[in-house]
Amino acid sequence: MISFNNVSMRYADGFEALKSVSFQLADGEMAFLTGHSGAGKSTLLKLITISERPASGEILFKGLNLARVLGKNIYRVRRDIGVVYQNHRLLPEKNVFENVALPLRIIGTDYRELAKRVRAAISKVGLSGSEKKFPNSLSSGEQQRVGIARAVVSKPSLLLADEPTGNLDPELSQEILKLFEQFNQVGVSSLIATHDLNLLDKNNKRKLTLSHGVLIDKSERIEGRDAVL
Amino acid sequence: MINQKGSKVGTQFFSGLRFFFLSHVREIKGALSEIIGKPLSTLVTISLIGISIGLPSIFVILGENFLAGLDRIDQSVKINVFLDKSVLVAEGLSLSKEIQDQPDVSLVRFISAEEAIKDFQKQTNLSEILFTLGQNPLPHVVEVVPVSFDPIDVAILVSSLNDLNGVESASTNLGWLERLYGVFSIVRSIGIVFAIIFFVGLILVVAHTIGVAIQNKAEEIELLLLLGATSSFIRRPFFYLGFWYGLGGGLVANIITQISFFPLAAGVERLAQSYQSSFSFDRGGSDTFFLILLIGIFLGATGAFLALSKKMGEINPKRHGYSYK
Ligand SMILES: Nc1ncnc2c1ncn2[C@@H]1O[C@H](COP(=O)(O)OP(=O)(O)OP(=O)(O)O)[C@@H](O)[C@H]1O
Ligand SMILES: [Mg+2]
Repeated sequence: MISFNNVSMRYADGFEALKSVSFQLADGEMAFLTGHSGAGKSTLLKLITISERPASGEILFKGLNLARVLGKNIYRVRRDIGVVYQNHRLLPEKNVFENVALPLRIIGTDYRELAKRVRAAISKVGLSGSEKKFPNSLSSGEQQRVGIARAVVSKPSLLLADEPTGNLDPELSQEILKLFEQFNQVGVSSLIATHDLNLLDKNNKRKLTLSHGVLIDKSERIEGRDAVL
Repeated sequence: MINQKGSKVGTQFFSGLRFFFLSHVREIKGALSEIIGKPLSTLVTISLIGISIGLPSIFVILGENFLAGLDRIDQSVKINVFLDKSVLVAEGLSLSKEIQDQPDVSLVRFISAEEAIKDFQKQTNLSEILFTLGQNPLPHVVEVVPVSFDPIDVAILVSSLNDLNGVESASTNLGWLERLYGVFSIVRSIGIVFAIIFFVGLILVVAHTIGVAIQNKAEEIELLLLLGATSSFIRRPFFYLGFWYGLGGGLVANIITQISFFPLAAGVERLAQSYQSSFSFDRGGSDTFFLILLIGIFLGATGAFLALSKKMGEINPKRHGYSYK
């Protein structure tokens, strides 16, 4: 699905946030990205959404090198990746339906199809009936589920999440984890950055561990499956 | 089978077309509700546009009207050629024939001194004074209507008539006309100069307003970019915003112009009547109405374009990436 080859990343101030990171995420695989605060988790995700560019190395996604893609290919890559943010990033003046519909509006989906898919995504995250509510009238967990519905509504091939349970209590974290697992079961690859032990300990998915920009652990041996490198 | 396939492609084409229009209509409506949602700032912006287009329009339309009015008054331009006192009636008649033959003269009327004094007596009550003078003080006069009413052509004709043998002096009432012409061309030019200055200012005002709107939506724009929106997708609503501001401003400009013409037109028409002119004030008609609307829309769209190229240049995903924190 995606492969990092010797990727280093340096911020404008010269700080080296990632150091020669290499790993692969297989099609349909779900993995966690973990590590201490400041280890470079968000930085790694930003490279995938082409919000930042690496200083060296290559990031291959669907035959494109994300270190270098330009123009229309940037749109294509971004439309094929769903992202869930810790702070939801919902638009406060748009209701739940319109927030979830955004990715489909962007690709110009016909309204009937759009409405069908938006309702399906909203129901998938258990928020049917809240279509007309505005984000501020929802609880933090509900807002996060709207964010997840928006990330999956356009059926991306890769789902990224940056601390998706950062503000949530353990019970809600579990619910969110279950959602990701459900998407994974229907074949969506996903990479979830987190240091939430509620997520990490309660499943046996692969974990990529970063420390000071270095990938120190690419795989935990998981029973019944070989780690993919 | 082939038919079915063809109709399916057709349906897809039309549904695509429908989507294109529907999504544009949606965005146009979205931009409209955006400006209606902030009535005060919208009112300020639109009034500003309206006044800035309206004021110069008033000048230009007024200038045009006066110039058109003067063109009509011109039709009554005559040159009075006063002959030497020594010229006899027969000589005067042949001289007027000579003048009539000039190519730049359209009509000639010979008025003998006797006719002139009779006219004068009819129009005034000064007959007694004239009788006491015992002698006709008036010369023979040739009234000349020129072919061209252009002030310069008339001036040339007057000076050539002055040069003729037996002519004491030739003159016309054109002097004041010429001066009025000058004044009203200046009125019109002021309108045009104002228009240019105002329009440049306007574009900057609209650009600023839309720039603020873009800034207020920075978060949304950032998100849309991350979701893979093209920059034209992001720009479009702001263009429509400029469109609505321009259209609204154009409407206000038309209203201002028409309202200010109520008292103006009445005054001008009264003035024209005092000159026995059937002149009626031209408020500008539908083409002026649409021209002003178009100017408004053009200025609004240009302002939006400026704002977008300035602000969006800073967040163009093609040039650099985007931090999402
Ligand atoms: N825009 C930036 N300019 C300079 N340095 C940055 C920038 N963004 C992040 N960094 C630095 O890069 C390092 C990695 O940051 P990153 O946000 O990727 O960490 P993280 O693993 O996501 O941490 P957390 O768990 O706290 O979210 C940090 O030391 C951070 O200070
Ligand atoms: Mg982070």
